[in-house]
Amino acid sequence: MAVARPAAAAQFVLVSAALGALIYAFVSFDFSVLYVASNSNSALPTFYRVAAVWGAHEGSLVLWQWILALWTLAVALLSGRLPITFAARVLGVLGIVSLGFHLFTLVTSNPFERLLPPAFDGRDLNPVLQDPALALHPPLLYTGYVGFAVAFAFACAAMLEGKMDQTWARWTRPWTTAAWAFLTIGIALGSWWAYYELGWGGYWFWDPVENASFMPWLIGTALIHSLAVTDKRGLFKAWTLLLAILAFSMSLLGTFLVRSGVLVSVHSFAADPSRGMFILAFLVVVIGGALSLYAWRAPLLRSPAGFELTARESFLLFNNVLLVIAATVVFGGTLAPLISDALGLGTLSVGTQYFNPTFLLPIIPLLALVSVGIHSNWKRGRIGDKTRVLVRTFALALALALALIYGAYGPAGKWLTPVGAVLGIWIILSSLVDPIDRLRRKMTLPRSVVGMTIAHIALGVFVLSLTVVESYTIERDAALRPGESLQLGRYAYRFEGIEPLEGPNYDGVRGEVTVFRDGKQVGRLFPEKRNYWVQGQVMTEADIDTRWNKNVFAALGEDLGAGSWSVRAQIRPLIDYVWLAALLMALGGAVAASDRRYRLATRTENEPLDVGPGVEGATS
Amino acid sequence: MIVELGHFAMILALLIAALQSFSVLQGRTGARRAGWRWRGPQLRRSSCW
Repeated sequence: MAVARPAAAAQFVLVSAALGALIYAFVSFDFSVLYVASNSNSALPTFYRVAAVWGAHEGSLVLWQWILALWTLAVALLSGRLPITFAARVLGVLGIVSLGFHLFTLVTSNPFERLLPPAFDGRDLNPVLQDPALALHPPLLYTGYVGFAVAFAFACAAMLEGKMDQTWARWTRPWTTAAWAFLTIGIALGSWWAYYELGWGGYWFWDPVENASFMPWLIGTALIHSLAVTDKRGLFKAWTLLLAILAFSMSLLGTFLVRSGVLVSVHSFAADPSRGMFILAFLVVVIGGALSLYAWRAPLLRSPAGFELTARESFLLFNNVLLVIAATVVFGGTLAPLISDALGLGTLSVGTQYFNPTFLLPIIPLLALVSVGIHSNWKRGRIGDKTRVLVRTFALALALALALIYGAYGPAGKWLTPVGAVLGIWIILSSLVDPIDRLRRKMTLPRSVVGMTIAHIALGVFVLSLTVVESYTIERDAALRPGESLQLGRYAYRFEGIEPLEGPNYDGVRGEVTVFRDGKQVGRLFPEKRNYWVQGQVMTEADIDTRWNKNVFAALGEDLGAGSWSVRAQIRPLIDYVWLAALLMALGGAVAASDRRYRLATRTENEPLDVGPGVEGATS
Repeated sequence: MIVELGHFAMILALLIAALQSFSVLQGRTGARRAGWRWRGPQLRRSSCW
């Protein structure tokens, strides 16, 4: 330990210096550095010159290392109450992970490589990335990805120590929840970015790289629930360890998929097949090592306690199994084209036709079980006592869902619409029952309960808004000349024409669209078509009128000649609530992770447990 | 110059990460508790000798 903590601090300082040097090279237009010359340009605005540091492979690896060094430093500073050997082992495992990434960067992806003679000017940042979201999306996503390395390190340290008890689970929980919260925001931000920048109004494409971030999120969600059971009841120890290993494995796999270029995706700007082998080898060493450790220690893991079928433990077990099945479905669909190609079975394209139905198969029962599981107690379910509240919340959810569907939107003709609406509202109502009951009884609400409630309400809002978006979005593409209109439900889009546009490193045209609702003007939209000079790439910039209950969207397509332009019009109800719900979920995670119990002195195995809802009728 | 310093910092970080990695080997590995013990080479005479 005399080495681990100072080493963690030194690593942070050194990686910060490396990142700082790279930022300096970008800001000062040092085109004698190959990476800068490849991803920047003298016309690039200062803001993008800084964000361009992680706009491609080499720099994003440095960002990854910096975030890992930051997490390691945080563990070093906040592990004062952990047993010294345990903390040292955690930092040691994080050191091994850092070592792998440092080696990878220096051997295969050196961002400091010089270009001789220096380039006169740079080749510019990929125009797709010239967006403010570049400053936030990769750092947040990586903070989530890398955060699972901490859960992984805690799991490995526990296995090395041979003490995989409830104390370990309690130490791990805040770190895992924090990583999960960051990953949630990162994914949501990526989806929002795709919506207004990439996808002509789409927000989730089941793209391999999207899936690569979604798989660790699904496993991470299972992990935070499994950790709750291990912490409270000392059960599922082996399963929790395995999930901790799996969550980080999925993060590494995600990196492999993004960096290797084995799969074609919207993120393929970052691809390079030659690097894939290194990450694959690293994946085998790190994950193979952890799984070997697990195989060695698994016989020690026996759970003394039992639980009834209707106990909270059972529902959390179902939650875990269904989330892992969902992650497996995504995993299978993501890797299927790769496997098909490797076996010479031809090119296979896996899209929404596979992902939507197969993903919903485990997710719908999972959502239904959330509302039931929330009301169950630890150990002895006594779900029979909760029949009244279950029936009442379900009946109210059904009434509200029907009122929403038939009152506000009208029948959508899809069976999933009422199912999704009822499940979403039922989750929101069920999440509120316990906190309201506690407040009525003048009991305090610990942050873990507040955080859990916020996250579950957010899940309900997410399901409800996604159902409405998928059921009631209307869109239409049309070729319009100035003065012509297209009708979209009660809305009419009148194309007024285009005008030239010039930006700092692009030119193009800006269209003007006047939007009417029932004949009354309600807004004007200015979608753009930009031509970035250096790379000669044409980008579509949609314009979106964001309202409290819907987005009015317009995008300018191709110039069809003779003054006619292709225009996409779209009305998406409640779409912003999908991302707001994700933010709320992350907020719930942050609140839960800040619970006072996690900051208290180390608890020994013999101390009585805070059993949570149930046996004594108290919840935690 | 600053770029070279950044490169050098990265190399130093690699060395320090290697040093930090040795912290996993804190004291006992718990192998004994798990019932594992290194018994040295087993050279007992078997019946076929």
